[in-house]
Amino acid sequence: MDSCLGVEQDLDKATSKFTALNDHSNKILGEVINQVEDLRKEISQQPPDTPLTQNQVDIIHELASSVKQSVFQLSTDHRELHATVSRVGKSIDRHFIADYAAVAPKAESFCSDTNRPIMEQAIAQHLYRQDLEDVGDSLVGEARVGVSERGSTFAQLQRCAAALAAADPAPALAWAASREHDLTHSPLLFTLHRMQMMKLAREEGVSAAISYARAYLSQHVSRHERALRACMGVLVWCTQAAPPAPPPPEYAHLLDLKALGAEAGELFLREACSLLRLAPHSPLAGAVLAGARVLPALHDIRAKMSHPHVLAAWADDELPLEVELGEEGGGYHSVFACPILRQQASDHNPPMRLLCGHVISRDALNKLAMGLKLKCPYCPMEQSPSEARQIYFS
Amino acid sequence: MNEIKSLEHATLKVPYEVFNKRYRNAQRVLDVEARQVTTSVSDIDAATKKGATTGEIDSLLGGMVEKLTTMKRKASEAITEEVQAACVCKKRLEHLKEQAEALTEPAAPQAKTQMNQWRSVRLDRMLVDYFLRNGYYDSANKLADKRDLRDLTNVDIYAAAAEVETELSARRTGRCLQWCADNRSKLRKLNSTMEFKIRIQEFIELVRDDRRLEAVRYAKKHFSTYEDGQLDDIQHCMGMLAFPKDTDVEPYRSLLGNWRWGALVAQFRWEHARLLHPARLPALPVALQLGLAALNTPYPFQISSKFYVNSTGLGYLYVIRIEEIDRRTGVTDIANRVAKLNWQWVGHCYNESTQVSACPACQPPLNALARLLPHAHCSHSRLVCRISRLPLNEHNQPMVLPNGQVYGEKVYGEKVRILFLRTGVRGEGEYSNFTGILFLRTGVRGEGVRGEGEYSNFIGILFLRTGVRGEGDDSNFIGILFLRIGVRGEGEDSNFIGIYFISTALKDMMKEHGSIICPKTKEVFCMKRVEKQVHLNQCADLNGNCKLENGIGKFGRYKTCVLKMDLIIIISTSSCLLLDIGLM
Repeated sequence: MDSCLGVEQDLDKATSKFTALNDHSNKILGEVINQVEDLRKEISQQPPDTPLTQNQVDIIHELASSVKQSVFQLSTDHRELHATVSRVGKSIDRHFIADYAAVAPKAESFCSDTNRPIMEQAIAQHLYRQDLEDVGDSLVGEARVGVSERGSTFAQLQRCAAALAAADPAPALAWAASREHDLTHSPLLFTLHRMQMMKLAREEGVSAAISYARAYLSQHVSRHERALRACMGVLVWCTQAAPPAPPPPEYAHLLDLKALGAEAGELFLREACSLLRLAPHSPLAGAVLAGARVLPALHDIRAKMSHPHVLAAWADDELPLEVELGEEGGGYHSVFACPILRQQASDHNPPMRLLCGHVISRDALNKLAMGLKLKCPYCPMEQSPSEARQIYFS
Repeated sequence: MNEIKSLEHATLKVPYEVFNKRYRNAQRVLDVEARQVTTSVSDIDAATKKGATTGEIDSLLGGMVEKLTTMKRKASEAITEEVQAACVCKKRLEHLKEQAEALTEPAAPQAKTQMNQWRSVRLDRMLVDYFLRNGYYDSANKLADKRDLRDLTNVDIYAAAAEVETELSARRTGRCLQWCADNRSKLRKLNSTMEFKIRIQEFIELVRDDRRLEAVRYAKKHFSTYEDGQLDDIQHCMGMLAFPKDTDVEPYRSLLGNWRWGALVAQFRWEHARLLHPARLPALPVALQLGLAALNTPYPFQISSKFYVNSTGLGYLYVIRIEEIDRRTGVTDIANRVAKLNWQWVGHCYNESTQVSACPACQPPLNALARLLPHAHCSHSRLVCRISRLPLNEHNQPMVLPNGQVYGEKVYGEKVRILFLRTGVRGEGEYSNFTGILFLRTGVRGEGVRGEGEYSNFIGILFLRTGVRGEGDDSNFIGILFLRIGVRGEGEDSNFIGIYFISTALKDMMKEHGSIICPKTKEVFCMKRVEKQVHLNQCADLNGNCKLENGIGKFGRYKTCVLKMDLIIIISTSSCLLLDIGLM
């Protein structure tokens, strides 16, 4: 936010200066033109062959020099704005990171001839999943990549979600209704019906909405009593005789069909994908989302790691720090990190469960073992190292 | 630092460069126009000194008015253009601020939806940027139109570049030279060879057309002021004059090659991007690479045959057994399949059996890219149940089966299903070999057994038979167990795991104690009831009690199965797998 505001300040300054200059130049030039026109009119009243009087010559001289001066002044004024313009550029450079690629030394390889088609294939796959078939087709044509998945289930789901975002729940409702049996525990049906009801209330009036609610929402009363109450309450604001006061925030949210639709669209995608056991993001979208999360952290650490000794960390085959990818951005796999060695378990060094139930890595186990005896590092229990069992998380 | 600061530099910098360019342009216009006005002023001065008549002065003043009006018009146009360019910057800034605002108040109810929408717009912007920088102008235009992103992307800025590229592909250099002239000072600062390359190409084309004299004249005009490092190329060019156009002599043959036009297009694209973008790479591959690295898991060793012997600790008897199975069933790759099953700690993203459909690094085509990348650093365990994808924590305890496989306590939002066998034998002698059918039902959620025909709780049928045809060694085999796990919709084959041949002893055991199936290896375990609830602290990060619950009593302790059962053959819908139930 700070960075945006910083740039905005400079940019606003520049814009206002330019607008002011524009007005100023228009005014000045207009005045000058008027002056010259006046003089011309005055002179043209005399017959064309008469020589100029000394007085007129002086006036012309004066005017000419003032024209020259004001014209140059304009050009100089504009030149002086250079500082303002370049300040915007410097402000962008200062507030944003120009060389974001520096923390991703291997990104270059994605643009190589072997890897680029793979990436572009992923892009095409993403476009097809987003129901952007013509864009995908033109990419396939322009980049000359082969693609297998075209017109998939995803596209259908995306179409429903897009319709939802455009405040039309009909396709999503049809989809959900055909799978009603599997959606008994999900709030999706309720959300969609609620949306339809709000739409009806807007388009056909409150009574239509109420009868719709009677028909479809009554079965959801037990689970969504509160939300349903809010739904009914908000109908007050849909009538002709709506209270003049703006609706309170919890109702305002329901009245905004666009926002409601966007939210329902997201829920729809999530629920439908989990029902069909599909990933809600395309691989590309998921990876880019995670990447955007990682970048700031890496920039941070890069700023701190200017020391040459620390530079070695970039050469390693592991990212130099741990980044929390958020609830929907990661955590696809179990990763066991040994609590003793603070290392990720691997196939050389798998997790071992001791008799007492504590789990440590095999390297740690070998280090802790004293011959045939092993004391658990977490509890008093003694055991033989051979009693530990390897366990598997996936 | 946040995502905006790290990623959006180019978003603002590119329109700024346009703004800056427009500023310079406007300055030039103003200077030129001011000079024009000054000439007319000095004309008037000269005229008055010579003692001109009013008619002359009148016409001179008329000329001045004309020039002043043009200046007024042009200045106003130029400055308006500048302000427009600044407005583009401003628009993008507003877009960035949307996200920043959502970031500052994450608690707002719609913030999450807003954020997700903003992110999908960002992805679209990245894609458009990537398309533009790789010359996929058509796709970029289509995407930008479809998602209404013209203001937020550089589609219009690149339109001119697209024209130059088509011209170049059609072997016309005019537009490109014009572009070089427009950006001469900046190109020189970047040590660009673009113009020189174009000149050389024009020279080559003259030679190709056998207009050699013209070519010499052209060279005189354009190559006389060469810079460091260009002399070699010029010499090659001049040498070309002495050879026919279908020569086989290098380097002249390659100079005449048609590929040079393609290279020129590529170079132009690169130089154009270099002028506009401070960063060398588009944001998409950078974010993609880091994202894949952050999701990546270490790449494993290759599967080798030693694993199926050693990692299970079963030794040679096991091997002999496998060979025997091979001989009897004719399934030759059973050892491999078992090896796959037994070697579970393979890097997650690269083993078929551990890939997750939601994980971008697991899925083709990105899987191939992730293989080459660093993997995520992780110093704290981060465990997820492989079936429900829920994190394993105090609300969802990790459970370990006797074979070492760990699952979450909650699967499909419920407790781990433990299969209870309820006998209800009917249809005696229905099939000549079968003595009965055993209906198996789940005891999930404490629901009682429903009527026979009802499928909601139905798990499988155990066909029991006494005498077995065929295979001589089948005295162990008593029946077939159809099993389903995680029953959601009936009739879904995906839930079906297979048919188990089990022995009487195991059947009794299962009947008595209940059993659990490992979804990964499809092994069946009996859970013997123990009197005392056993505490199994998993590890420091996952403190808590480990218990298997089934609604009746608590089961725990795995070492209690006393069965000495040798083999179970699972015939699943897809493949024939061999499993060992040599319980510990």
